[in-house]
Amino acid sequence: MAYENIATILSAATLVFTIFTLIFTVKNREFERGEVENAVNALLFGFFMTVIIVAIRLVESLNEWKPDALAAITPEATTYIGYLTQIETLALAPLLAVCCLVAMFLAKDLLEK
Amino acid sequence: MASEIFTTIQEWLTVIMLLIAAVIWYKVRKERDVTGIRSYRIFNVILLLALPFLLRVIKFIPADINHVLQATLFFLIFFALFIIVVRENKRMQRERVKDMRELLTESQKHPIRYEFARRIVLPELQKYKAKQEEVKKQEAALAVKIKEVEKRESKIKEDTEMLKNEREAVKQEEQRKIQLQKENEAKEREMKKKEEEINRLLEKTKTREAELKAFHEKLALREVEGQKKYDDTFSKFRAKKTEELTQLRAEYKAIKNQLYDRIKRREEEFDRVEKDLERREQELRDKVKLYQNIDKITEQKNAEMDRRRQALRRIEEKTMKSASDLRKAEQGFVEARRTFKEEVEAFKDKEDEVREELEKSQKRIARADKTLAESQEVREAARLKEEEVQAWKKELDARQKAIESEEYRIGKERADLGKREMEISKKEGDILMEKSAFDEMKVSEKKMQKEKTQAQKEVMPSKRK
Repeated sequence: MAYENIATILSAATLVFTIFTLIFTVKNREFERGEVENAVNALLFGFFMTVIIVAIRLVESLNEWKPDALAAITPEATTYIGYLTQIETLALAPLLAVCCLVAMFLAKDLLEK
Repeated sequence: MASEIFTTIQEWLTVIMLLIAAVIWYKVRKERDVTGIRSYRIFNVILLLALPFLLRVIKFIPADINHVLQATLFFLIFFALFIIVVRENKRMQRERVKDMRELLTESQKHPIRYEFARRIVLPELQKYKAKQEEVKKQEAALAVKIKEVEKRESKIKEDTEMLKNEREAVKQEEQRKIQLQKENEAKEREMKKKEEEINRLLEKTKTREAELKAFHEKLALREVEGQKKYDDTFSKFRAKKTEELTQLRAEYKAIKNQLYDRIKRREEEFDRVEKDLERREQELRDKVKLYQNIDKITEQKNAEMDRRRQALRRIEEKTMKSASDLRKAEQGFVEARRTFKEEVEAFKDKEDEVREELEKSQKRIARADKTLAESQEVREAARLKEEEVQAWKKELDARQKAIESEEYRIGKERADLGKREMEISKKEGDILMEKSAFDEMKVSEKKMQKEKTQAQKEVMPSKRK
């Protein structure tokens, strides 16, 4: 039971930090050269994916910690959370990896030029 | 089953892609200078995301612990990222502001002067306005404080006046008390004098009584002597002296009467004196009563005086207390005045600072106005240029259209040309073929000629032979 508590708290903190990181990265993009913007944009999209992934993980942990709270909202909560987890694993996480990979390639091209 | 396999594949794919990205990045970082990308630290850290995904695919760790470990790794990575991003942002902001500040001195016509105006001049103006408001607030607070101090001063003045009045009342009371004491002493002295006088009168009456007794005794002696004389002279001068005796008796009677009168007078006088004495005694008693009353009154007065003294003491204590309070209040007042002075000084300093700031910001505003005017001019020029550019653009469009039509025409011609070229190349090929055939023919002809000449040469020696 304690594991779920810790995981929930950590996920909530991570979500907050991820959102702030996203905001500050958008701000920092102003200072970058025009050529680097594509790489940073790819990275930003990756961050956005991470925000969604972390949010899904938070909901998942919350459901494990307090299943009644979410079940009170909808009785099918566990099913929906299962779907969300599936989506995260099948689509969002690879998308994040692709974004990172693209950002790396773009950065590499830029640096090689 | 299929979905599980698909999920596993996707998980592994994610991990592999992230690992590839990490390898690429770290390789590039080794080989190249990555400082060209200002956010290169973010790239350094973000690739650590491979770790939680890697943990996810490791199945031998218990699920709960795995879950917590993943959450912890995510938290650590994004916490580090957050710190890096915030620090980078601050650093870049600082650098940008520094660059913009340099603009202020070095160049007025810089491409980012609008940004300069927005980022440097506007915050300064906002700061200036905030400071103005602060100064106004401080002024209002100081006015309130001054009013409070004035109120305190007036209150202290009222207190001091009240204390003065109380002091005066106490002094008057003391003077009255001293006067009453003096009156009592004077009355006591008068009483003593009257007692002494009464005593003297008593003594006088006693001496007079003694004198009277002595006179009676004398008179008795004289009577005895007269009797003797009478007896002596009776015999001798019985006849002679009978007259004398009668005379003497008359004299005696007269004297006796006189003496009786005198005694009576004296007795009357004595009675009178007694009465006077009694009256005086009565008076004395009255006076004693009066004095007793006076004593009572004095006691009462003393009690009252004690009460008043106590009240006075209380008032004195109160006065002392209020004096100490006053002193404290004065000290507080002095302190408040000092702090007020300090505040006034600080306020003056701030005012000076604000004035300087105002001057600076006015200068900056003037500069900004100048910049704005210039920018407007530039904008106007840019607008004109834009108009020109648009005209040029139109012209260019027209030209481009013409060029496009020309290009189309050229393309067509090129196509024709290509066709022709093809034909030409074909012809060239044919020509080349023909040429090669011709060359071959030439070569064969040459060969034939050579053979012919050789044959001729061979024929010629044989003929010579």
